[in-house]
Amino acid sequence: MTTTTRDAALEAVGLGKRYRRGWALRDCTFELPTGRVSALVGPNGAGKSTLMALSTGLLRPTSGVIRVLGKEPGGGGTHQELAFLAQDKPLYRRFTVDEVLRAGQALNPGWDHAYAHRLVREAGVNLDARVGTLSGGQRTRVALAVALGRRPQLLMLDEPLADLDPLAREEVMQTVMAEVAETGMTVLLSSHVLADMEGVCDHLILLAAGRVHLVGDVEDLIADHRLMIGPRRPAGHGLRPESVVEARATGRQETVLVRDGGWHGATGWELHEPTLEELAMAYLRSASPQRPARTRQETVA
Amino acid sequence: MTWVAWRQQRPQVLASLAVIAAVAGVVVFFRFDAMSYMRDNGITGCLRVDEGRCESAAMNAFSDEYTSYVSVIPLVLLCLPVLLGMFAGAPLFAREFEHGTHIFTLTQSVGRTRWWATKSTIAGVPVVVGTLVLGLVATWGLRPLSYVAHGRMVTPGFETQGLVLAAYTLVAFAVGATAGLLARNTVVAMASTIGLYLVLLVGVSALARPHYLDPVENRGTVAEGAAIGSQSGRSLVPDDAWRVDSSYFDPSGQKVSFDPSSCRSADNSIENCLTRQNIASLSARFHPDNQFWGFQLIESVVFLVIAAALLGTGVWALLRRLL
Repeated sequence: MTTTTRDAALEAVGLGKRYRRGWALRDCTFELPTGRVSALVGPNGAGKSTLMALSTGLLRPTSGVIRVLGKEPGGGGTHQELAFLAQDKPLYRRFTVDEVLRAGQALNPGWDHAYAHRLVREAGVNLDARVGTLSGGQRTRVALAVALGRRPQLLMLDEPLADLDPLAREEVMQTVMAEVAETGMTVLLSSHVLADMEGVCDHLILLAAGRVHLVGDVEDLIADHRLMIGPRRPAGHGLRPESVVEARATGRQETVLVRDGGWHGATGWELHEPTLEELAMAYLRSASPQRPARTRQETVA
Repeated sequence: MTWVAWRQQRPQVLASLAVIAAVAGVVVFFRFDAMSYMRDNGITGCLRVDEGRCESAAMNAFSDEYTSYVSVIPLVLLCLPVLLGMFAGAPLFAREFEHGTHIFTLTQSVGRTRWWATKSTIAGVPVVVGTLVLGLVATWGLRPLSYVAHGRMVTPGFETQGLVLAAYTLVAFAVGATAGLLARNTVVAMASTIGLYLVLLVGVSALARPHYLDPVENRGTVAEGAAIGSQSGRSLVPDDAWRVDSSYFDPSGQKVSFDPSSCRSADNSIENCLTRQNIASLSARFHPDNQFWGFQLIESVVFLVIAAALLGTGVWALLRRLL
């Protein structure tokens, strides 16, 4: 594992948030280094939106600390270098697109008006159209233009692609990745569609049932895991239990995800590097309520 | 933030000001209308019946002419603060929560205190200033009609003139805005506005208002006192005053009770009935018209304090929890 000394764009220590109905996020400790494009992955209700709300200062932690670019969020608005795009892209419905951009300018000291305008023009959205009349894709593009117009160092997108058609998904991701290439901005992108993340993200934070199950650079995570495929044996897979993330039997075959070199010395298996999706799915399945949650953290020290 | 809040509240603010201006227009129109009626009938400047020019018949004809206007306009003015509170105050934050747009604004570089203060100012100040002007216009516009309205010390004249209209509007607005912050639902906030506004208005007028200033006491014989309410202009209590209570005394000066229900038709007049019950003199306590501005000022301060407490609750709720 490589050692990096870069500052964290986002850092959580023992972070927890309890609502009336229970803990939405508990004991989360992780670090998102700057410059990464990180996938925040987890099933519905895993705490992804809560984590983002805590980062923006919309919510206060019940326990622990969260730091955005070294600063704890307070009541004075969201960190100037953090831009957040909420799940349902809330915008004032009666504003025209032009007025939305003007609002962005009025609400943000470091606003880049020309850039925000260019993004909206590139998306082919009419500046005089009212927000309420835009399609889901256009609305996302406008909201994204407002987020990027702040010229953030850290961009958080909560399910940005959820209601978009495949073409719009691609365009939105291209806009984000162009900005990443240009400025080296850090991105935290939540989704439950892993396919959207593959090839885009170089970092992963996996949440399930309010806890962090896996964190780290994708490259390192893949190097640390192997997918083992072999014939199903009556006596089980015969591997060290602590190194097995998940074992699944399909027909006469058994597929096991193993970590930390647990595959060394095992014979009769076919070894594969897992894809990001295979890795994440195995962890999500192993974290599902039927099985005891396993806390596993791969922090980039 | 100011521009954003203005852009958001523009329709409500303009509609509220238009309604206020329309009501003020009606009040101004009727002032001129009443003035010209009084000039045509030779009762210019008459605020009450007297033995001179302002004689009873002319004043009663004047009263008949304007009684429907004078009974309707205070109701309109009395409803205005709660309507403004419901439409300018209640949706102010509740609608943002309903549409999730508070997330948009609060994730820009704007603190929540500034968000609250700017929105409240943009939405609240125009309606409060508007109703302040309206209250003063109503004081001026209803002055010639003082006789018809039985003065401005009693309900609903007191509530709809002077400074208190603006103070009520501020309270209704504060209830609406704070209920919206707490309930995060426009309909609930609107309902709370009506409910709490009525409770506060009735509560303050019943419990606090009689004690703002000491009443004036007038004593007189039965013959003088019996004229109360007969509009002859000789009564113990001026007919534009707010009567608090009456006491009755026997010929030796002892306080006694008076039972109006035992008056018989054979008594012919209240005077005879009083005499028959061995009452020689009576006294009345009342708040005269010249206490109007004092009462207005005190009631306004009471409502300002209530409004400050409500707004403070809203800020507290906003800082304590969000989303």
